[in-house]
Amino acid sequence: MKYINLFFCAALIALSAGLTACNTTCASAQSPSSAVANAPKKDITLQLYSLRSDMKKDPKGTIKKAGEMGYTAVEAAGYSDGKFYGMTPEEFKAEVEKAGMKVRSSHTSKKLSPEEVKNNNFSESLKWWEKAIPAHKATGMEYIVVPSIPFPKNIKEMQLYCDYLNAVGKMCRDAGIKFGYHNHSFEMKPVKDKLSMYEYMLQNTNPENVFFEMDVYWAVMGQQSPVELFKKYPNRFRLLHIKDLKELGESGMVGFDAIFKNAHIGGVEGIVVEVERYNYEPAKSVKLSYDYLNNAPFVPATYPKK
Amino acid sequence: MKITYTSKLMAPALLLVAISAWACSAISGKEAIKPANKEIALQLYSVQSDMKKDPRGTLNKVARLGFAAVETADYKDGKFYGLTPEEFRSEVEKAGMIVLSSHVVKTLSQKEVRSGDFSDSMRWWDKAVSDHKRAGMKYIVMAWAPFPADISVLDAYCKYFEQIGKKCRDAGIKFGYHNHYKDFYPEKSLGGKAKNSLEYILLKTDPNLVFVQIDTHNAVMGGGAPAEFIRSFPGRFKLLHIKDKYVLGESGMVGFDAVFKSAKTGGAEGFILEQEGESANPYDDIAKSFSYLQNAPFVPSRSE
Repeated sequence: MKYINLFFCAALIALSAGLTACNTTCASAQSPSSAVANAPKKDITLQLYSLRSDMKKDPKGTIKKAGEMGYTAVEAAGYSDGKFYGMTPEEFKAEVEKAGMKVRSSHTSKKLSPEEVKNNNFSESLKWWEKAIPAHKATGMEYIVVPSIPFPKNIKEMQLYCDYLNAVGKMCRDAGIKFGYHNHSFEMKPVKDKLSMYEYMLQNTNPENVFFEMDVYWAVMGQQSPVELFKKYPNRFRLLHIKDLKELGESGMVGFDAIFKNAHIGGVEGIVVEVERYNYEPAKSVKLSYDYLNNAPFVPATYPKK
Repeated sequence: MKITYTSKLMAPALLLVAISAWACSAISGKEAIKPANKEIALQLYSVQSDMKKDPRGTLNKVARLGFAAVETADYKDGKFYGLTPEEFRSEVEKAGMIVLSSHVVKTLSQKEVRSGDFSDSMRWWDKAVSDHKRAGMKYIVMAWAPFPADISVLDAYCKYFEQIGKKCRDAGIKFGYHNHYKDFYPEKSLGGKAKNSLEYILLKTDPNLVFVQIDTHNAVMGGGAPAEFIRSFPGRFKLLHIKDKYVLGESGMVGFDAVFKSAKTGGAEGFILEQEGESANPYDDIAKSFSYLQNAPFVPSRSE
């Protein structure tokens, strides 16, 4: 009798040891839906240009809708004369926070005048930024991003724009805001021998003052590999524009799994969704895009801040 | 020596641990030991120089990586990698794989394009189709054509492709065209009839005679969206060239989840991996790409 009791005791201990080992290796095999249900909410910013016609008609209602979709923050694209979508910075901040989100960033630009380019002097434009930066600060945003600059006519103009971005970047840094540049595909064209405009900018801006918000769709349209750019210029890409041809994950033009897998090499702190073309009503496309990222096992909840 | 409780219990206890560990690995989905369960073919251009030096040895290496079938990139003087069609078929099947498809290039002469009389080229195809049939080929793919081209040249090629397609169909083989990146470039002379050469080919050719083997990375490099393009011409993509910049799932330039999601609508009957590029050990890199497909939930397994 004693033997049998001890046998079963040992068997139970062995079995529980085996199952404990099993649990740790099996944890990763849990079903996707339960993983999504139990996981913390993913930090995903929406570029409001994705809902531009809705924002024109009803900014407050559209902001509310974005929050309901699951987005945790917004990137504005409507700064003009000290206001965001016609609202004061404080009003805009309040509406975004009412919708359960944060104001993360803004696409804001001040093109250099022909005189400034001719005279190699951008002090007039810097005065514009002196007013704009505090307005942006008042929304609580962490980043300001220039969405585009003209393809330069010559290297002198290219360098002038790099110096200009460095200067604005320093002003932003002094105000506790990070400043960056967002690409389209034309920057992938060469500006000096074989060197692309994008790489010239990466090489001639101060990493402390200027980061790059890589738009992954436009990078691919420029025949570039986002991952190769991360590896060649590590830690220069604080934000990513997660964009596809239309709804995220539908066209086959962007390898999001590879991009997210390597985002840490690029120094990514946050992602911003942009949907510019649609197979459906914009709001539906924007919601489907949120769902794609929310359901994707390769998209983390947050990113380490550097 | 007295047999203690401990040693009598050890054996069954260890047996139980072993059983639970085995059961655990069987259900946890860690597939290191499981055999390949997804049917993927390899475009042999990925190991072209090795194939030319030692076809038998290379085919065995390819089979050991887990590939189910091969697509060739060398048909010359009636031979595949220097082997007669029957020899080639035999080597592939001895290695445990299937002869699936072949890439050939036979462009029209300027005279043929102008005259619309393709008999010279069609005589080449008579022999080629017969050789491919003997090799056990299921598909023949025109690997390249001089596109984008003026609409008059495209019209000639559409008629040419249909003639080749008919010859292939009569031999029980399917004929297709494989794109490069420029096939997606806009072509002015099309005058709005189609956005690009590839679209024009698809609109102008008989679906029963000509399919398109869409190359995913080539498409993206040409500004084309592979999955969206596939969905816009349902049933026209019997074979998919699964290609990235190099190793699958590393560059961020192709959304393979979207591509495979569109495969059924496209009418895909096979997936062919191609990996173009110099490497000290191409087999390790090909194995990485194969592993990417094996582990991808969006790539269907044999049972599906």
